[in-house]
Amino acid sequence: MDIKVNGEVVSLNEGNMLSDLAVQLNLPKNGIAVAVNQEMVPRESWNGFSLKENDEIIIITAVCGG
Amino acid sequence: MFSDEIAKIDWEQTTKKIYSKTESDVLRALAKERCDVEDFMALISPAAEKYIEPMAQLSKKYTEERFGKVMSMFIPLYITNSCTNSCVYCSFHVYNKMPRKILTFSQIEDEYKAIKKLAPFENLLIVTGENPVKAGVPYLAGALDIAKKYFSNLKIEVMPLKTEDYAELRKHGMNGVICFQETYHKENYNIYHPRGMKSNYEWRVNAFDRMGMAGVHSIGMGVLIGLEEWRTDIVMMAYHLRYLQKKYWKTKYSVNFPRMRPSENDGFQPNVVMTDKQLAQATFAMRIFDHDVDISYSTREPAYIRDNMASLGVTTMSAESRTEPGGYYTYPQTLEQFHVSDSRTAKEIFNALKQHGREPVWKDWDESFDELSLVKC
Amino acid sequence: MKKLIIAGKEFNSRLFLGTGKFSSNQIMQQAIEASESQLVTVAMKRIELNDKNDDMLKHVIQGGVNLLPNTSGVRDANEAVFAAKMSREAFGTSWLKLEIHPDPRYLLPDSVETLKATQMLVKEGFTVLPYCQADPTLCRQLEEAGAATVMPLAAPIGTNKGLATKDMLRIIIEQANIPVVIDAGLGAPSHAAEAMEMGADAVLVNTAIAVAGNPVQMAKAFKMAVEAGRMAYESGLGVVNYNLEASASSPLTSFLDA
Repeated sequence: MDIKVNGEVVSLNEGNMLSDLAVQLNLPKNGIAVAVNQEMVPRESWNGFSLKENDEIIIITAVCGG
Repeated sequence: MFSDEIAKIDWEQTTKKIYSKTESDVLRALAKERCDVEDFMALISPAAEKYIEPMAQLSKKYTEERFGKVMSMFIPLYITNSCTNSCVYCSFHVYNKMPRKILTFSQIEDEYKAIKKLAPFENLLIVTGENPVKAGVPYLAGALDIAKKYFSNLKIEVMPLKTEDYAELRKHGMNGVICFQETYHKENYNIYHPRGMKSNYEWRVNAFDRMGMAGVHSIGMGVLIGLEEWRTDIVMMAYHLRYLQKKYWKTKYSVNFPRMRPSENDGFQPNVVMTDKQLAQATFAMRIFDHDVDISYSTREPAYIRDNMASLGVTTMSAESRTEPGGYYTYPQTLEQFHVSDSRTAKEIFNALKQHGREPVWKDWDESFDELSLVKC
Repeated sequence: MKKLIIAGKEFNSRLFLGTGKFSSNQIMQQAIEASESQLVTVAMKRIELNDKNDDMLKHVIQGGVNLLPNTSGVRDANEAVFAAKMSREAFGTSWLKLEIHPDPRYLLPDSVETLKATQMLVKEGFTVLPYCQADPTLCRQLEEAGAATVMPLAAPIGTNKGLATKDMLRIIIEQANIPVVIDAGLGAPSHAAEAMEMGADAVLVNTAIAVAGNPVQMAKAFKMAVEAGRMAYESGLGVVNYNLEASASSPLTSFLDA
């Protein structure tokens, strides 16, 4: 299934849980936050959160700033 | 609440502090753009006495910057002299056997009409003794309802009320409350106020918080000069003023320095006397400490003081006052609370103020502002 | 010297640092160390999927340094609330520097959206430190809304102009019941010292340190300036010259001698 991550199209290889996507993208163990369709999904809920075709996902991390 | 704050301030230590202020403390205070209470102590101390002329100049400058040359005029109306307290210095105290009056609404309206004939007064101060059963919140509400037809700005000087009572009276058009703490000296407070609700120090000193919480637009404070060391008492009032300003920042404040005058009650003599020069010093000190607070002089003060101080720091004055209930029409000879010193007519005072370069203003509020300020309490 | 307390947390240092604009993460880390700052801001951005950047956080999280994520980039209150939730999840702190500047040129904060966002965020349990205009009434409103501090600007971000809003800052400091952190526009340690002498509770500095010739040394200079300014304030500053007319030609108080 195809979904969008940070504006880019990504094909989910295995499974359709948010936790599967995290493995596929090799996301860091901490210091990030994920939102699906403008709603933040906490890490503890990733396993069990089903993604649907064309879901828009944003993943943010820290960067230098004032 | 302020009772918690003032418990942390020691009376004796404060008195010592005031009396050990030096000339350099005074000079530093005079040079500051913004004074704190320590500076105020210096300005009200004996060390500042020889600086009274520069203090007068500063006071005049700050007053005119903020208020222009305007003097706001008001008139008090006593509608009752029936009281359940026994303040030792007051002619209304419960043991004083004189006829007591509680004006009816019809009589109150007659008083309003009589006042309007004296001068175009728009700022009214309704005063009562403390009789919550016969002259409580519903009675005050009724007096305010009728007053709205005659006056644009209504203040009350009555016993301390509950927050919800202040909020209720606001709905009846009450714009401001005046309440003199009399003295902030907690231990000696009950010497002067031995019985009745007024003997409760906390209830009175926290009334101002309750006014603030109820959204009262204008709060007037005062210490009765004659009870305790006046410098310390006024410094306590300065602490209180700063505390209230920080907490209830949308409220206007005014201060009074009522000097005890002889009353019908010949028993009590003032413990301390404040000279005219000291009154001037206290006024200037207050103005330098706070550029925005209203400073009010009543007709307790003689004409020459009022006329001269009018251009040096005072911003509000009463005129042609009667301190007996119904004194303007109904009962011209009843029991008065204190003798008035300045007994000139409003018109005479108007002219005197003009001669001193002041612009007496009768009206500086309008009913239409009441709608906007009547937010949920 | 008295400790700084914000939302119940004690700070020994009254110098907060921004982490932007440094030439390298290493220099940034050294500058933070030299400043002895205990609160540094971080921003958020979308992760690069293909290019795993050097994780900047490890350069920031040193002993005793707390993170203050900012919402830089959002343009209104709703976006700020979304950013706050992401931030809390990513950084594990509900502390937040609320920054809403829809104008990308001057980066001036939007007062209306900032107040709205503060009200919403406080309800959601965030510890809000709002970056705002040097507007005394706005600061009162923010305090009433439950902000943990106010952070009025001294001058527009990055201009290094110093205390351009001095008169307003004075009023804000006088009236606030919560700590006042002067943020944005401080260009030299002397500006920071003056801010502290005025009674500010802390200052936040970024550009002046990050783009200095020697950022690490500049960070140390700011640290010293903030300490000096605060010590001066707590010692009771002296007076400026005052021309006293002890006896005027027509004294105003002659009526008292009569």
